[in-house]
Amino acid sequence: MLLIIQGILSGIPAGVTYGLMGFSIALIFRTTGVMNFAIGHCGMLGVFVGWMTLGYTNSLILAILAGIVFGLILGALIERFLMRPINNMSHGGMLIITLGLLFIFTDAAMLLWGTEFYSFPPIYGGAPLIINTSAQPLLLAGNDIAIALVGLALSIILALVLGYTKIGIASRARAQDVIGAKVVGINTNRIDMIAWSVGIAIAVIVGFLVAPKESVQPGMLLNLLIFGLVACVLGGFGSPFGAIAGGLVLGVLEKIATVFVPVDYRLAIILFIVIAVLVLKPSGIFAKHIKTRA
Amino acid sequence: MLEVQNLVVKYGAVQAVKGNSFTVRQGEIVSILGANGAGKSSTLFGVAGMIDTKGKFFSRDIVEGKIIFKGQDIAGYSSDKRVKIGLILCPEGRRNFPELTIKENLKMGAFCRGDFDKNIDFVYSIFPRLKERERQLANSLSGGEQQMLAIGRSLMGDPVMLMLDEPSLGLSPVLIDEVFAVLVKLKEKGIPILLVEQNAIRSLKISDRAYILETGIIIHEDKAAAILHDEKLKKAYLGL
Repeated sequence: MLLIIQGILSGIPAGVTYGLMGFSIALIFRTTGVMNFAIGHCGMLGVFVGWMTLGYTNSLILAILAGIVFGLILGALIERFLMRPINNMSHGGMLIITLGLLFIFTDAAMLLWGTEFYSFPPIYGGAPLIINTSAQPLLLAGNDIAIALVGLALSIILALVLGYTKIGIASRARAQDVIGAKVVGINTNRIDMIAWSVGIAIAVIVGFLVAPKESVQPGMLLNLLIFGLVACVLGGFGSPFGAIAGGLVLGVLEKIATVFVPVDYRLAIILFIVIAVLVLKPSGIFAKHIKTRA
Repeated sequence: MLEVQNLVVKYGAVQAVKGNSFTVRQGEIVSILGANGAGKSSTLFGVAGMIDTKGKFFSRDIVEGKIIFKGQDIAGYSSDKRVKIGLILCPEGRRNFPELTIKENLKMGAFCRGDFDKNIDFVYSIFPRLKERERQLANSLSGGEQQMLAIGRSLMGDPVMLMLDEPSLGLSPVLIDEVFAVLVKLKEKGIPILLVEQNAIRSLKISDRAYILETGIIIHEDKAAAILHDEKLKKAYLGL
C-alpha cells in the first residue's frame, strides 16, 4: 500500500512533465493541424542555449530565461519560414517535414555540442520532503516538488489565457474554423506563429525541468516526446488540457506499474494502455462527448 | 464604394473567375446571381482576400485585378486588413465557431473593429433568439439560428460594406423572409450589401442592381427590376 502511495507521489511530477509536453504538442496540433514530432528536439535546443548561458553567466534564472526566449524565437522562425509556405500541403506531408526537423536538430546539436552528457542544476536543489510512516518513509525529491508547482502554475496561466483573453479565444476560433476566423479579421498566420512559439517555449521549460535527471544531451527529450504523445492520446488530441490530465494519469500509472512489474516493462505497459484507449475510446478518455445538431 | 476591375481567380489550372468588373455604390444592395459553380463564391473570396497566395512554395492559386474600396486599392491587403477597414464577408455555410458560445462567437466578430458592448445590443435587437441562447455553444443551434449568428457576427464588426454568400441556404421560407428583412434594414441603415444568392427571385426583389455570372464571366448587368421582368433572361440563365 505504501509503495502505491509512493508511486502516486513520484508519479505526479513525472506526469506533469508528460502533460506539459502533451500540452505543447496538442496546442500546436489543435491550432495549426500540424503534428510536431520535432517538439522534443526544439526543447532540447532551448535547453542547450540555457546551458551555455549558464556557463557564461552562472545564473540559473538568466539561463532559463534565455532558453525560453530562444524557444519563442525558434517557434516563430519555424512557423514563418517553414510551415507557413507549405501550409497548403497535406497534413501527412507536413508531418514528415517535422519528422525531418527532428533529425536535423539532433544532428545539429551533435555537431555543435557533441554527444557528451552535461549536467544541469535542478530548479530547486533543497532537501527532499520526507513523510515518516510506521513502515517506511515516503520520499519526494526537492526538484520534484518544484516540477509539480511549475506545472501547476503554467497550467493555470495557460488555462486563463486560452479561456478568457481575446487572443486565447481567437486561437480557439482559428482551430475550429479557419475561414470563419479569417472573415472576422483574425490574422490566422499570427495565431499560428503564437501557437508555435508558445508550444516550443513550453517544451523548453519541460526540458529544464527534466535536465537534472536526463542530463543535457541531444536525445534528452526523446522519451518525453513519446510520453507526451501518449498523454495526448489519453487526453484526446486537440485538447491541450486533456493532454495535461492524460500526462498525470500516465505518470502515476507508470510509477505504480513499476511497483508490480520490472522497470523494463514500463514502456510496454504504457503502449498497451495506448492501444487499449485507441480501441475502446479513440477520442481520448477525457474528451467530452459533444452533440452536434445536423 | 466598391469597384472591382478585371478580377481573376485561378485555382491552379482552374479559372473560377475570368476577369470580371463590377461596382457597389453607397446605399445599394447588389446581387451576383448564377448557377452552382459559376464563380460566385470565388468572386467574394477574391474581394475579401480569403485566397492566400503570398509566399507559398507549392501554391498555384492566383488572384489578380484591381479592388478599390473607399478610394484605396486594397488588392494587396491581407484578409484581416480588409476586415479592419470595414469590408466584411459573411461566408457560405455560416462558418461559426462550433465550440465557442454564442457570445464568444459574437465577441470574435468584433475582434479587430467594432464596439462589442454597443453592437451586441443591436445584434440582439434584430436576432432576439441569440440573446436567449448566448451561453450555449454554437453547435447546439438550429440551422436558421446558425445563420442568424453568422450574420450577427458579421455585424459586430461595424461593416462599412457587407458581403453575404448564400444567406438563405438551407433555411425555411419563413426564415428566409426574416433574413432578407434584416438585409433591407441594414440597407436602410446605410450599409451597402453585395449579395450572392442562388435564390434569384428573392434576392432580385430586394436588390437595386444585379449581375448574372456564368462559368466565371459576368454575362449580364442590369437593374434588378428589369431582370425580374425579363422572361427570356430568367429562363436562359437563372433557370426560372
